[in-house]
Amino acid sequence: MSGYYYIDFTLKTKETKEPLPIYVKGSIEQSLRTIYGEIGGISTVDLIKFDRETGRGILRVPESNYVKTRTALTLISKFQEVPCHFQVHAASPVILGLLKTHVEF
Amino acid sequence: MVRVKNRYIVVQIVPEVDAGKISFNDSVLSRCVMKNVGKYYGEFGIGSTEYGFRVKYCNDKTRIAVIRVRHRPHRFVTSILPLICVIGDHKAKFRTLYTGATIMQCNKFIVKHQRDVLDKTIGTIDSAKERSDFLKNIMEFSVD
Repeated sequence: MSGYYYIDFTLKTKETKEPLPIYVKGSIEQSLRTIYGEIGGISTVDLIKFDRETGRGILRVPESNYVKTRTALTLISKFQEVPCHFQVHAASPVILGLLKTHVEF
Repeated sequence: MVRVKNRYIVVQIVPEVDAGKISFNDSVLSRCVMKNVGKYYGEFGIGSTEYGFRVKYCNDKTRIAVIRVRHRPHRFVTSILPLICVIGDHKAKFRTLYTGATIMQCNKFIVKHQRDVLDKTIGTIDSAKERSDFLKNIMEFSVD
């Protein structure tokens, strides 16, 4: 396919302050580094869209690093010292696959 | 039945300055290797390597050690060994000599390797006592 995987996620945190996209990307990369280290955690993570109000965004990762990124995303428990979690709505190798279907309603 | 496969890595410790006597033991070696696995492969690396990890044999005089790691995570260990440059408090490197599946094969290899070293160095020693001491030190092999 395209060689990439797209992940539609929401950052859920108790704090009402709108998170900056750069910090969201940083926290994902930091998590990758702690879990998989300097060699294992090398991966290009692109945050292609992020809505600061709702905390929802789309992430693009190479297909070979999809599993690692998904693990790292799941294991993030703090965002700027505030407890949080990432909710993944959909993941697809095609960006159109992230469109809502009747299943979600 | 499921069998647990292991890999035994024979390493030689090469200090930066050859003249000084360096001492190392099992715990120093394992701490150093695990720290580097953690650095390069993260928590995932430590988690998969830790179970079954053990320094089986460690000889101060010949500077040879045998490390036991589980099969598959042994790749984490073998790939980071060349990147290590500090062991304990000393500046030293690991030289991987052999990777075997049984400790008997490693034993055979070490004996052969030590015999080669012996052949090279025995001619340079003058006194008979020193020679016999050297022979005893270099050829002994007992695994914990």
